[in-house]
Amino acid sequence: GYLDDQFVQLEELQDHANPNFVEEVVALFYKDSSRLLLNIDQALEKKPLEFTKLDGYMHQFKGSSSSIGAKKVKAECTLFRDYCRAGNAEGCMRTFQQLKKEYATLRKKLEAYFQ
Amino acid sequence: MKDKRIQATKNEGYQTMDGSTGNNGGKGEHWKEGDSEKKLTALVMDDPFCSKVEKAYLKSLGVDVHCVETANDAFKLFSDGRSFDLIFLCSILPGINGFMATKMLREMGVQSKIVGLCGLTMEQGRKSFLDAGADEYCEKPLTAAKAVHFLRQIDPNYKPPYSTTRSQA
Repeated sequence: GYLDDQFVQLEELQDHANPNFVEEVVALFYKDSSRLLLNIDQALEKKPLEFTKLDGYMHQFKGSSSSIGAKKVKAECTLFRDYCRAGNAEGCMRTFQQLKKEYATLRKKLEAYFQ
Repeated sequence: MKDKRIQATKNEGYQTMDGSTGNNGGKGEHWKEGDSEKKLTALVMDDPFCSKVEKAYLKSLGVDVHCVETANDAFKLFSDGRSFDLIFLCSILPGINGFMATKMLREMGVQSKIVGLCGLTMEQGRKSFLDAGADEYCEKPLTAAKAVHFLRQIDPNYKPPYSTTRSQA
């Protein structure tokens, strides 16, 4: 699945005191991740690649995807960071394309969840 | 010259900046002898998204939580005399990063338990945070089970209001 146990735990935190908790968390996640993805997209256009900068963005993105339970996206983040540390530009670009696909699928799943 | 050294709250009481001690060990007016319902306090220093999740877990565990987005906001709290049992600190913060913030909090005299947080694995992140002066490290996400582990280190008698054992650690 796309969402791991972390997402289930977030659902469990929703109660009468926080009736919209999951929705709010997801909305914040979108905002945060859109910004990070844009930053990474822009950074990937600068040649030669600034691996440290890219690694920094991805590190943040990994933190937020794991907080929402986005298992597959998190896995791509780890892979991307490995390529950054190896200075492998092609690996980074390829992984990022894959990451964006996983992210798009994740958003679809989350949207379906809220219907 | 105003003494800016702050003693953070520990179980055994606190000392305010002018040196006076709370006459009940600093446990607050609503705390009664034998009352095991004393709330632990936590400061979360992280981005708005992660803070929301972390705060929700901690609140559900009966912890009083305050969130800030920057190290400077945190420093201001401590200069104003606030104290917390536990500080969760993300490595990535706008402006002063989490490692520097940890060093600076220790230099200010903050003795609260500091838990570093970020997306790095235990092997990758732990050393950097501990070198900066943190007590512990936690790989994100902070879950209820992990939080209970740290809360018990501060208060061995701490009992979570619900079972966290089925949670992914």
